[in-house]
Amino acid sequence: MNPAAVRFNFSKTRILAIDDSPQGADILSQILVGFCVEQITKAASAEEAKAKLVREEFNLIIADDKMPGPDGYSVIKAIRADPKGINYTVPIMLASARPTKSNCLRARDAGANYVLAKPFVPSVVLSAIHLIASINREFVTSDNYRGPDRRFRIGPLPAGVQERRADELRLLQAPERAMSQDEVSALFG
Amino acid sequence: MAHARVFLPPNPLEAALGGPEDPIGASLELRAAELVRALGPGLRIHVAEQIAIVERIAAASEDVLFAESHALGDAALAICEVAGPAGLGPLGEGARGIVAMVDALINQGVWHTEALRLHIAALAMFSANPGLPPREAARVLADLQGLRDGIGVLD
Repeated sequence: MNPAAVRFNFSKTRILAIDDSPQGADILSQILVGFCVEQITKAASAEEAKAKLVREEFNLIIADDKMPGPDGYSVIKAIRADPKGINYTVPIMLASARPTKSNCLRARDAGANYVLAKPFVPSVVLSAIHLIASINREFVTSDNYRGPDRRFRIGPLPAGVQERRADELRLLQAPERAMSQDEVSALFG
Repeated sequence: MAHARVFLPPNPLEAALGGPEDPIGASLELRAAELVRALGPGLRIHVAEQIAIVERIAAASEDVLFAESHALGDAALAICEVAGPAGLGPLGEGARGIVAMVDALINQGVWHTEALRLHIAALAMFSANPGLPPREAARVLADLQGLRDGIGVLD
C-alpha cells in the first residue's frame, strides 16, 4: 500500500537520530517533527549514541554512515553485539550520501534493517518507516551475524510489480556506483 | 559448533500504524516538506561555506589538490547532503560528481587533475547561477557524467 494513503500515529514512537552534521541532523529532525514524532533524541557522535542506547529504549534508530571517529556501522555493530541490550533488535536505518552497493552490503552485514539515501526526502523516510512497520521480520543471532533475517521466498510477482533484481544484476557490474533509493531498497527485500 | 537462533521480536514500529482518526502519510509528508523548506536560508549559507573550501583547494597547485583530496571530498559530500533541501539540486548533483572523483582516487587509484578541476568549475558555475534553466543544468551534469564514464570513474 502506498504510505501516502496510510494513517500514522507517531505520538509514542521514540527515535534516536545520529548525525555529526548539524545540518543533516536538522533536516532529519524537521522531517520527523513534520511526521508528528514527539520523542526525538539526537546524538552527534557514535560515543554519544552508545551512551544513550544503554539508558533508553528506542523504536527506531537512524544513523549517519560517515562520522569522525567511530562511524554509523560501528554503532550498528555495538547494538547488535549485545543480545541482552535493551535495543538489541531495534530497527536501524543507516543514512548514506554514498549508497554504493558495497556500502549497502556492509550495512546489511552489520545488522541494519535499511539504508536511506541522503539527502533525506520526507516521502522516502516515511516509505522506509512504513516498510519496517508493516513487516514482522524474524531476527537472527549467530556467531557471525546478528540482525534481521534476510531470507525471502521467490514467488510469482503481484500484478503490476516489476522484477527488481534486474537492477541488482546490473549493479554487480559497477559495485562502487552510488545507487538510487529504489536500487537500495531492492537489496533490503 | 556454530549455531543460529531465529526468533520473532516485537516490532517496535507497528504501533506507528495509526487508526481512522490519525493523519494520512500524504499530509505528514507535506508538513515535513514545509518544515525542511524553512531551513533553506541556513542550509544555503552552509553550502556557500563548503563551496569556499572546495574553491580554496582547487586554486592551489596539483600537489595540494591531491594532498587535500580528502578534505575536498568531505566538503563536496557535505554539499550533497543538504543541497537538495536547500533548493540547490543541480549544485548537489555537481558536488556528487566531485565525491565520485575523490572516491575513485581512494578506491581505484584513478586521478585526473583536469577532469577534477572541470567538475569544480562546474560547481562554481552552478553556485553562481542558481537560476540556470533545468535543461541546461541537466546537459552540464550529463557531460560531466560522460567525462567520468570515459575515465573509468564509477558513480
